[in-house]
Amino acid sequence: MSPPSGIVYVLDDEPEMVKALTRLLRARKFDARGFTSAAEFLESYRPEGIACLVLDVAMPQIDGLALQRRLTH
Amino acid sequence: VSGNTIGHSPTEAALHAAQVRLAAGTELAGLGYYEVDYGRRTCFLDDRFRNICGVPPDVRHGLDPVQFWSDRVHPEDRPLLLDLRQKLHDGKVDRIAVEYRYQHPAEGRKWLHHLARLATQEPSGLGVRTFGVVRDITAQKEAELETQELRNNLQHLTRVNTLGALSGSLAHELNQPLGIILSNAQAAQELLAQEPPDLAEVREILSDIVAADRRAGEVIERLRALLKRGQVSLQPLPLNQVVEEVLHLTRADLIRRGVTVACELAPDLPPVAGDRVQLQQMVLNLILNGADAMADNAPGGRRLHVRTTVHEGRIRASVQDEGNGLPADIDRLFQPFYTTKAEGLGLGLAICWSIVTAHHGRLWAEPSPERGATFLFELPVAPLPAES
Repeated sequence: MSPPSGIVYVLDDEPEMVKALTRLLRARKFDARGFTSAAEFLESYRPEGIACLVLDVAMPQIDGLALQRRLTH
Repeated sequence: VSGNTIGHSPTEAALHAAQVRLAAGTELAGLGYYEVDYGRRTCFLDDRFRNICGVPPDVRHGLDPVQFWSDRVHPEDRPLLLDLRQKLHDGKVDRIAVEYRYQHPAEGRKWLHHLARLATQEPSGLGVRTFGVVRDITAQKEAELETQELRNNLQHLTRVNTLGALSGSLAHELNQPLGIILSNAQAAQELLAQEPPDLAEVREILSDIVAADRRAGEVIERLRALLKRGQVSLQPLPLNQVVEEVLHLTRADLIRRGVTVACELAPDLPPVAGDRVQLQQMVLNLILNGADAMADNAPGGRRLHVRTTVHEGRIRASVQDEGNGLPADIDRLFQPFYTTKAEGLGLGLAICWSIVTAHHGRLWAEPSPERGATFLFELPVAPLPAES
């Protein structure tokens, strides 16, 4: 099986959750990158290229829905 | 009490008048009166004492009536009573006041209120003399216990109610560790299927699984503690920890409601004398109240300040919101079934009031500096362990 291309961003305010999900994705050979806040994610996020975002909805400061609105604008 | 019939000196007249007054006073107060002379091994009981304690007329020899009475004190209360009596006899205290259960030979279980004191010591030094009164407080005590039980039930009810309100938050609190466990376990399966397996990573995964599992267990434990219906027991307790536990339980719920919490907990706070579950309940009610009060605020304007401090030797905690502020009839706030919320039962603050009262503390509300309300409570510092 060839390794999947593209990046999977994992965003959750719970660090242990980010760690577990990125770990699982990496074990399955994805290029997974974890973040614990929307601000942190927005800093390193590159809109070009194929990517998938696994996003928690309830987060302090910028929540998941607000972030989704920001990304689709 | 000897029937002295010789003459009517002014001294005798005064003595007689004093006896009449004593009899009238004890009758009106419903008191049974007694005296015990441990030196001469004699005692005197008036008729009311005999009625209240059911001491038959023929039990009158020496200290027999005292023995008759003490045999009928409830076994669980007897050690305390005998201990107090000893303190009185040893002169460590000059009076005692105590409530205890008593088995009346004909009327069954009663509650008695008993006051006793040391009579002035006679020069003979023949041992102590005491006198005292008993009063039947069964009716009052039963009403008190019934009130207490109602209060416990009410608290249980509001806890269940609060729990309903928190259920979303709790599901989140439990789903999170479960999700962490699941992803970690699946990652480990994946790693073990690879050649060569990354055992160092698997080892780390297992320890993260253990930690997440413990976390889920703690959530359930807190839940169980909150739901437990129990007696109040005042133990030395770190209030900051109580506050942190409640904030942990409510965290997801507060995020969902867009409420941010700023916490200023005084370090090195002395312990309060408190019941963990009840104090959690009180802090929980105050925090949820504060969050409710800000429901109509714009997002970003829903800030809750939680503080603990030491104030004049007592421990003070406050929950400050930026909500609608206090109603004009501020005194009614803490009364049961008073509410400003459409869906409120009006019991939250009333429960807080009864909890703080049971803790010998006080609870009040003030307008917040800019807008909203601040609820404050003060509790005494836990006493140091007794030396005796």
